[in-house]
Amino acid sequence: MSMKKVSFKMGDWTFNYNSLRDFEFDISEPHNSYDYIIFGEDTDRDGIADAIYAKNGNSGKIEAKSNEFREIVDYVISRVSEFGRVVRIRIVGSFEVDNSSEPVNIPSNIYIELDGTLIAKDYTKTMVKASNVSNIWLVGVHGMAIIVVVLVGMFLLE
Amino acid sequence: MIHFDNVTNGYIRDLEVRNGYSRGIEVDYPDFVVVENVISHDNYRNYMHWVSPSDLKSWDGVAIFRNVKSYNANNNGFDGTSPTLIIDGFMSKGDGTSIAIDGYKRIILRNIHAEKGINIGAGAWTGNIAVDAILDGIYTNKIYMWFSVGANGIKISNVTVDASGGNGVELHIKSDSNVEYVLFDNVEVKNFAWAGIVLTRDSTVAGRFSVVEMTNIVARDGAQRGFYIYYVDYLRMTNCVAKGNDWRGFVIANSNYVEMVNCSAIKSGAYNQDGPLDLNTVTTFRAIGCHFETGGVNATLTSVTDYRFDGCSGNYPKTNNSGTTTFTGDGSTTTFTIPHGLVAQPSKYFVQPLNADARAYSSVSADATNISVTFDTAPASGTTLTFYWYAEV
Repeated sequence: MSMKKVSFKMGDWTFNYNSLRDFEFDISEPHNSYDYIIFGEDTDRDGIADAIYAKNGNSGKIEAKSNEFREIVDYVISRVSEFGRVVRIRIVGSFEVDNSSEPVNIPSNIYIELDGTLIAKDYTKTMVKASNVSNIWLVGVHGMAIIVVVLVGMFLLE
Repeated sequence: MIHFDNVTNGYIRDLEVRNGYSRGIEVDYPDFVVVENVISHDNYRNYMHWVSPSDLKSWDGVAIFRNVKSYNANNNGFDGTSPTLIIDGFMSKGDGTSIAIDGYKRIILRNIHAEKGINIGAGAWTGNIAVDAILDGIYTNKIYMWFSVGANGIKISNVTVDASGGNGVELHIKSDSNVEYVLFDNVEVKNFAWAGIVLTRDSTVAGRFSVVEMTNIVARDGAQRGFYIYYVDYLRMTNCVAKGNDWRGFVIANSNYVEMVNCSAIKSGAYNQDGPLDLNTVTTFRAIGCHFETGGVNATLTSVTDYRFDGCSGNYPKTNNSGTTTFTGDGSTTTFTIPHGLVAQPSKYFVQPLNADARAYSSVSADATNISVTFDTAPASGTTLTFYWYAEV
């Protein structure tokens, strides 16, 4: 069976899929301006990525894949301390963030560029937290990045 | 949704944060955090900057909120207990209260559009540190600052307050500590329900405003008083205008040295039913080049021990006056009275008869209201009596 290639561009990168929907990344792309790129596929076309990838921007390799954004972002964050410098991460796409047990905890020395939407699974809880850390950038790009909780419920008075 | 807690060198930029159950962006115990170009809306509170009040004295971190927008917060657009806070470029619309801060050491608010008011408190729980505040370039419907601790300096400049109720700008002392320096410059306050510019204190405390300088202030079209200023040791008002306020132009009381230079109380409509100027218990008062119009009641001075009006016009409390008055005898009246219009009984006065019949008067006296000219024999009916008079307190 011949392999059929499908390509699409997202931002500065080109992504290729074969007929088996396995993801291939074009190593020739100028991808090393970020240490990690988190991106996803919206396979069911509901506007939220359900196949999420972590690409090492230096090697070009996909290091992690999951249907849970939280697993991918936690994996990338776990690697930050290895760099010994500010790590640049780019998040592209719309994702649901499982913050029901704890928020995404941001470590020191991290630059997160968000081009898309993060949707909190539990709108009553903190989604992103940086505590007792230093050198943090949380930046939206390409217009307005959105961190959003879609569920608009009753507000509780403090 | 986004919570920075004890972050050194943190930056949040170019984001929209919305529909959170509690805070959109919360910055606690910052060493240095910048929140810039952010829209936060439809959260319970859109922005929060917090340090425990008991730690305000020792915590020296800084948070900067720059070019941020807030709308539809169920509670406060910006809520803070902040050691050092800079907000530069803030737009609030549809929030419960635009900016509410209840503890700080030093605060700078610049370039603010706060639709639902600014409420800044210096709470006593902050360890009795004296605070500093700069408010510059603000459009809002209320500024209320209260002090349960002393203040070093409060600067309010380039402000428009289009009030929807209550007072326009109020500084309120709630302790025995003084607010040392208050500087107002280029402020317009309008459409207030009670008073435009208010400086006052709780009745149970002894704190005072030490030095207050007001320059280029307009308080207009309010339901009651333009300026309502109490408990100031040294107050100088320059180029201040109260216009079209229904009750009073300027109310100044329980103050020591008060100087008004080129100020005006201007009548408009029902303005000044209680007078353009109401001074009560002021040690020393000077008005230079001021204009006081009245809608019916003249300016009043009560327990003002030393006062002087130089080069003023309108219905100000005169300390000297003069005029020419003519009477016509009726054959029975022996005493003719001339209202001198002074604020108190004159210490110097005289009348000068301007025709032969007037020269027949026998004595002249004065009380707090009138100069009285007395004849031993009642001038005949139809006799013309013309006097020039002068009186001085």
